[in-house]
Amino acid sequence: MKIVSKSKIKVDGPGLATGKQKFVDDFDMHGMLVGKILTSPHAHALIKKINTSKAEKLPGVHAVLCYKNVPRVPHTTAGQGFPEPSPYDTFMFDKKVRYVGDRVAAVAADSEEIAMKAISLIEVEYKVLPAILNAKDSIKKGAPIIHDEPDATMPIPVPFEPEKNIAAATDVQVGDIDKGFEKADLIVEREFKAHYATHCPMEPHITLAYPDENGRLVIVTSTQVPFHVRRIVAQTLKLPIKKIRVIKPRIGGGFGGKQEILLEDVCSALALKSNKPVKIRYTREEEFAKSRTRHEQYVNLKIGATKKGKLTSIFMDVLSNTGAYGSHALTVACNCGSKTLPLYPCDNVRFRATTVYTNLPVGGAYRGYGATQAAYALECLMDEIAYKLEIDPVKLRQMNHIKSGGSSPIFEKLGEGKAGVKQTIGSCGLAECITKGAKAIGWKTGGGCQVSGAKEKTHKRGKGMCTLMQGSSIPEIDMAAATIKMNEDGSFNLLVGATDLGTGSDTILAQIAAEVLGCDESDMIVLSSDTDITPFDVGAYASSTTYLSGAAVIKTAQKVREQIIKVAAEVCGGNPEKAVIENKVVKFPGGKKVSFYDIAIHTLYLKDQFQIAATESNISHKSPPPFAAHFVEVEVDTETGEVDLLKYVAAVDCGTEINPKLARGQTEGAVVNGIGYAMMEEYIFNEKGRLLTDNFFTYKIPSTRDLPEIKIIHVKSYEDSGPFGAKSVSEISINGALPAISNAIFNATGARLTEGPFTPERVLKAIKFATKPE
Amino acid sequence: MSNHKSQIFSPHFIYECLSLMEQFPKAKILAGGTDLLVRLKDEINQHDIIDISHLKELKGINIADDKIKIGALTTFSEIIENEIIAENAGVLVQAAEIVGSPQIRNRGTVGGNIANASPAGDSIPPLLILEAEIEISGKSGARTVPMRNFFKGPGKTILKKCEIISSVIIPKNKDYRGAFVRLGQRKSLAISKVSLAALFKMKDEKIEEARIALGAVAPTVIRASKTEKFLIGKKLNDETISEAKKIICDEVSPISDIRSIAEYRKEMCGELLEQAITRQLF
Repeated sequence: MKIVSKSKIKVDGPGLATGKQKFVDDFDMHGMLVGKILTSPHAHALIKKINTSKAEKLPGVHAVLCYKNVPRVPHTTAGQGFPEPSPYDTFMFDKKVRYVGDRVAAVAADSEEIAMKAISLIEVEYKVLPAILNAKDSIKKGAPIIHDEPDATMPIPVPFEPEKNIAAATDVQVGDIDKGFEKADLIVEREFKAHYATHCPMEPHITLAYPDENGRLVIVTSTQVPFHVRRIVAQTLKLPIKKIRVIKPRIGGGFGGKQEILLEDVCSALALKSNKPVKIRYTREEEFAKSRTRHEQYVNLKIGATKKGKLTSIFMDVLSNTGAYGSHALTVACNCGSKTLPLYPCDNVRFRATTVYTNLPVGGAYRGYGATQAAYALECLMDEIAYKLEIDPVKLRQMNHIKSGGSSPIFEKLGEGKAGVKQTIGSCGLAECITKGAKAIGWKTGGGCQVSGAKEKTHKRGKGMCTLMQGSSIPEIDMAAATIKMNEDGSFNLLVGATDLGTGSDTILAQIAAEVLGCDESDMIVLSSDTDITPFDVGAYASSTTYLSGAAVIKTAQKVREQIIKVAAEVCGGNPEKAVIENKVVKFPGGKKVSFYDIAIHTLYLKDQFQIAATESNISHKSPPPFAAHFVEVEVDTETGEVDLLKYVAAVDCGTEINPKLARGQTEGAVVNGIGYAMMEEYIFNEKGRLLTDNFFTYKIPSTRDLPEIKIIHVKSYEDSGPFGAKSVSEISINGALPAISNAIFNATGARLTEGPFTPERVLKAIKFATKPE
Repeated sequence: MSNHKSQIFSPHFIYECLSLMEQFPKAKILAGGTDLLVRLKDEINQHDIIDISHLKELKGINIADDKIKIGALTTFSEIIENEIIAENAGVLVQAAEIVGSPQIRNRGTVGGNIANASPAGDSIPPLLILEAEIEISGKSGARTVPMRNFFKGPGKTILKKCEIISSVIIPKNKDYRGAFVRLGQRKSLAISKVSLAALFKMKDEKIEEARIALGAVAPTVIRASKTEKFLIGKKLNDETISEAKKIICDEVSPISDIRSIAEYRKEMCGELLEQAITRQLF
């Protein structure tokens, strides 16, 4: 391969590095207004009265919206395929507010100052209702009902019981877990709590909406899902799809947070009401409290094993907190099972999940998407089994993990709102991930590996590990398409719906197309994510872009290649069956050759003119998991509870790396993301449900000095179903830090951390609990 | 939102600064800006600002025979690099080294850190046990007050209207050995959860004098006077340390807040004391 598997520079790199690329906030328009949103100070309340007249009269105010003057359309903000597997429980504005930060009204004004002034002039009288601030309280008898509106519905046939505060539920079983537990020599059972967290993208949510010269609505927005934005805005504003165009410019990171229709609906409504361009820009504080979060989850896990370490039964029971609205309520919960349980094939498995409403910030898609929360429980409990059976934790994984050619009934049982898709594992480099990772961290066999060398006698060192899987796209649901057309100079326009968020997908898709077409990636002019111009793509989520959109690009490029060769054969009389393309020249046996330039000129100007071009689509019948083994060494100060990370190793099998440097960046970023989640990121609420950690002073993410040496190992494998053998890489490595560090702390101190983040306060408490005399 | 157009003044002399303060009593004083600008982030255009960073009289480190006079505008980086301070007040250097980040240490000033009067201000515990004096400049000239009398509560000091801190004066003293230790939410750019500065003077293997200050466990930085008293005349052994740890935990009553919880803070006063002692004296 000439272009693929090479660390080519990003196609948008020089423009980004020199500050020339445009993000949403770089788009300014004549007469543009600033939109601001008034939100609820109460966790749960009814709006008794709302008076917007003073705000409307303020000079410079052009539009004020509240529940009284917008259509009432139940919908979901989750940017998922249609019909969405998330409840329609959200309204642009409602008479009821369901968390501190819920929308009450919005204004558009000439300046931010005027908009803020107008917000302060809106008079609201609330009837405060009892609030649910803990997921476990929401299912208690007599709990207040958060979604008592009659028009909330679930668009697909799955459990939805708002009268019980249940946003979604699932319960599947293979084999018979009771019989499985009977066969077990050892049964371990524990509850783990995976805490709230948020994405912290460099660029907070931002949207510009304007009516164009043809009476259509244009939305320039910081999104992962431009086509879902178009559909859901059309739905909520009751507009025909044809009236809307969505453009995604450069994006400053998404991580799942921008798989959400968060500002686009209200920004569009303000633009239509004022008939002017309106921009809404979330502040960092709004981003923390009023965007989306990782679903807080209680994962109850019970595993049975024989003395020799063979798993006989697994019961995973998840209580997931979706906050005030059910965005991704079902699918994040289902992913807890579907992206972890197949890792260890077992005859008897039950997975149950209940997603509940609370009066807290709203859950959503976040890198890892349930797998992060469930892997924490599964990998810590596997560690516990290993210690109790006196088997090396590495060996226990080696004995039980899935291998190439293996399968799991869970794949078929658990899908995204419907049954899943049966699949057999193709490529699996997990065995090699484990051995290479263990070597890199200096793992010593023999069950546990407490290490000496700590700085002080009260400090203890330990090592921990975990193994992981994820998926690559949602099988038989996700779809991607690409268009390629040829220009006079033998360059190509590559139009993709796929959404580059800073991930580099424009670059790897150009590499893939160039590899097939026999040209350089710089000959591909990439344009992504403009609903008027590019073909459809579900967007950047579910670790799908490389695998799904990449394969769509291959199909398209192959069609274009056939057209090119056919023309070349006609021009010079060569045999198309025997043609090769090298460096933009089609060559035939015997020395006949035609350049791309000549082919383009021929087809556009000389004879039987036509546009060399193709559009192809792709869906997948499987979601091949990438695999990883993570290892970490820690030093714990047993007197202060401080945990120092000494070294972190992530060995990853993502199939072929289309662009090794970008793939490595994804893994490094995900590891750091995971370390932040495990060690310090925390939502702290006051007794009224208000988020106290709503800025970077109080919500800490790791600084460079908090990070250990991170070693990334890429284990080669070839996924036959993927483009040039590739699988996904973006999500999997966020899942490792929580269990691996917890296991390392256990190895060092004997204390098992079942709730994050692992602050010194929590670690010290756990150490005291573990060492107290019985 | 007011239509107020904020003004920024940059006086070059103290008298100029003081008359501006008189003229604009609500104006904010900007030295390094590392705390102020963060606090005013969303309302920066609503305040008049007096930028004192050009006041030459507040700059420089002057060494006399028995004392060191540190100008209020001295940055943490300048403190870290000064050899005389290192020799005579190493505990202050240790604290300066962990402040914020390199950028903050390059801009943040010792005067600003004191004037902010945060119970978690990192330069305060070392200065308190160095028995520093604060030189205050006002309309009627300069006055000096012991640092122990300077703070009245979180963000509150004895500074009157039209007064600024012009320098911090610390006595030279090489007889003490000390340490500054702290716990934060992460390793840089984090406000201390608990901090402790300690100085010890030893004679015949016994403690002749102990000075201990604690940050972030009370409304102001405090001296652990019971613990100090207990340690006098004691030999430093495991028994003394474990007794001292108990005393110091008992003499504080911290609160729970967003950064930590009361019980943890209380217990950590003891652990930090042990760290300070073992790092410096063994």
